Amino acid sequence: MATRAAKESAQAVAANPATVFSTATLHKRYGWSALLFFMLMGLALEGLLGFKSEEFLLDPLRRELWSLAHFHGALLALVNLVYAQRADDLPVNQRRIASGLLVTGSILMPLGFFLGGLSHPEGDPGIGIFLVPIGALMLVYAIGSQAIAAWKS
Amino acid sequence: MKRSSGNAVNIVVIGIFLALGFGSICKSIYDEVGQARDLDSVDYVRSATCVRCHPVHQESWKRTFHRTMTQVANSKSVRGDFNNASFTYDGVTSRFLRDGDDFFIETIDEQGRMTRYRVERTVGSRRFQQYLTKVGDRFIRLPLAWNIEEKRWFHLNGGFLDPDGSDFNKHRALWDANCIFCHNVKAAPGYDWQKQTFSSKVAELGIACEACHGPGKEHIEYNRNPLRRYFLYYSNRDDPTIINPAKLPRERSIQVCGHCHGQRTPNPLERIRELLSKGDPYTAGSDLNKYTTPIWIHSKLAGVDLSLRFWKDGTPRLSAYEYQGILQSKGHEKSNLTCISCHNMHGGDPHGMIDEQMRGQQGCLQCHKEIAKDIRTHTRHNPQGAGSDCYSCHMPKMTYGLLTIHPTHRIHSPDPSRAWKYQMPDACTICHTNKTAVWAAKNLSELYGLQLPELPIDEQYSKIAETVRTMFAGDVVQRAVAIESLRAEKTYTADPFERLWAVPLLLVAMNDRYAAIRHFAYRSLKTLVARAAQADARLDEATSRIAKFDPQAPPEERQRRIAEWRSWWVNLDKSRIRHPGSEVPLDEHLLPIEAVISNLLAQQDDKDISIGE
Repeated sequence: MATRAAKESAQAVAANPATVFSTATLHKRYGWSALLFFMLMGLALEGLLGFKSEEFLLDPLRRELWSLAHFHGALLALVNLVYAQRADDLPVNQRRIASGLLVTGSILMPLGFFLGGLSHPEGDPGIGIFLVPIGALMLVYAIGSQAIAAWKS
Repeated sequence: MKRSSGNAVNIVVIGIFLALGFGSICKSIYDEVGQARDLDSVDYVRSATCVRCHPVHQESWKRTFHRTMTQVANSKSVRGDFNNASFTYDGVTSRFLRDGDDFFIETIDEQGRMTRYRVERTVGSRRFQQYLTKVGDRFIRLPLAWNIEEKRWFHLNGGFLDPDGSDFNKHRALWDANCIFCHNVKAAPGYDWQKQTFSSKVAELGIACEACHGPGKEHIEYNRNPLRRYFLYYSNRDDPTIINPAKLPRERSIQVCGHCHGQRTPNPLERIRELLSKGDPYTAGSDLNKYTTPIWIHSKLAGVDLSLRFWKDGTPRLSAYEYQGILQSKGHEKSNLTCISCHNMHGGDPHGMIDEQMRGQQGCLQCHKEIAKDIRTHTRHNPQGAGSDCYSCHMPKMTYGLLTIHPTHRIHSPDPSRAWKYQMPDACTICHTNKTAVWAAKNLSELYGLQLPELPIDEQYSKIAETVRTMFAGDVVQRAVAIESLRAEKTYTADPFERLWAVPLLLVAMNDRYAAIRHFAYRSLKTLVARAAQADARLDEATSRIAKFDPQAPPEERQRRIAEWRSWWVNLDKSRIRHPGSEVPLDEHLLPIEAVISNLLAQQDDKDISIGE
């Protein structure tokens, strides 16, 4: 049984077929590119460990934050790839916001962790860490919208 | 379209509210940070709490001897040999025993009865480690200690400046009323004047974060707010909930260190009652002078001659008076000079707590930049030699503490006439150990075009090398400084053989009636021989057969060792050792001229020095 959103979505697609295509493509492109980028970042981190970089080894907070950047970036890339498959679960106007927030949040969160570890006060991440809660709120909105849509479908 | 613009409006409104809320929080932080705090009533939290936010500072502090100043005795903290070791001093054989993690010292009590004491706490971890036992309500420092650097037991009568024959239990001391104040954080002896009992408490054993930074409870509570932390960090503003000695006004900054590195008496003296019952009222950052007065040469304290702790010109000659030294330094009040101009509690080698670059000239040249441009003009010595080392001339080693001679912290200019005016050592003759004080005075006045000071009537100052004169005729601190200068790393010659002339004189000094002086003499002798042996291994081969000299061994045993050393010296091929000159009383075979030495020994001032540490 089709939901109201799906019906609206189908109508919108009929009116403008590029809508779903562009949303799905955007997340696919972002997802695969980000996955590649954060895999390379993982390799770079292993390189820092392997070559005993003092800046990395002697700063536990930096190690933790950059590992979190790598982990979150890769995980969110996968979330984007999944999202690309279910982009039409939301009405078009909500979809635009959710899609935009998902991509922006997926960028801000690992970026915040990375910048937080780049240069930081003792015992605290650098000020870039404030991008993390902003990104997290965006992701909560995007994933929340999708979750609600899933319950309604 | 309509719905979409409605969303945008909602987002803008939410954004405005968030921005206003954020701005309001920032304003309240800004106002709160601007308010000065009185930290006297704030609670202490211990260093284990500080590490959560300050892991780097915690790590650098953990390396220091401050941290390990007072510790609970256990297998990690105890450095002495407790494996059934024994040590005999003054006819008493003390034993050091261990049972798992429990440590015991068997020695005589104040009534002369052999008693087994359980070691509860340790004091010190760099040069000496002393041991505390608990007797009733109080901790007692036992008179036997472990020399960490030399790995041997010794009696404190030989660590402090006490002549032979001093009472065995002279340094058996009450920790709760003495050591507690400087070797821990925020001490409170809790003395009940009616019951005459102690219930000592400290915020933390050892010298931890809050000794210098003040109590941390409020600091922690306020800084739970991340916005406050980021505001302080990125605005570089001071946090009023904690003390940073580097940001205090100069005088207050020095007082943080002076609280312990500047012996004081309560101000007024009657305040001692409050100190012993309620505890130390001083909190880092507050005004130390409100509670105590530094001890000076003319200070009075019933039963103690405090003047003996100073050279006769008022310069401190014992350690733990560095605060007074800096206050006496010429022009200090016009400069920005503080303890942390040179020292660093969180960097460099924990020995001396000085960054590597500050160990050289940089410490002085950071302010005296104009001298760096032409060092020779200032020093009149080879710019690369010991004579151009700032410390050698302006902070010479002339302060006694814990079997070591430390640099004075009264930064001053050389003046050899101090020798006859104040019976004190001076930079020129500490380095030119084979020269007289009058020679130094004449050279100094010639080199710098200064007026020659009035010369002494006593001919000894112009006939006998000042170091040699004072190592026999001086009082106990003069003797210690002179003997130590003979082995100093920085001196008038780089040739280790040339310095061996001091050996026969040191053998005479190894008969001194102070064990500490005998220790200095033996250490100087060993150092000189070891340095020469690096160029000629035969020296090491010959002297390694001679058993170790124990400055606290019975006299006959010490005499045997001295005789062995003397025999080695007499038979040594001395062709590479140049005679140091006519000012040093040695004959052509480099043996002491007995008549001169005896005359000097007869002049020796044997006034006992009471060490306040």
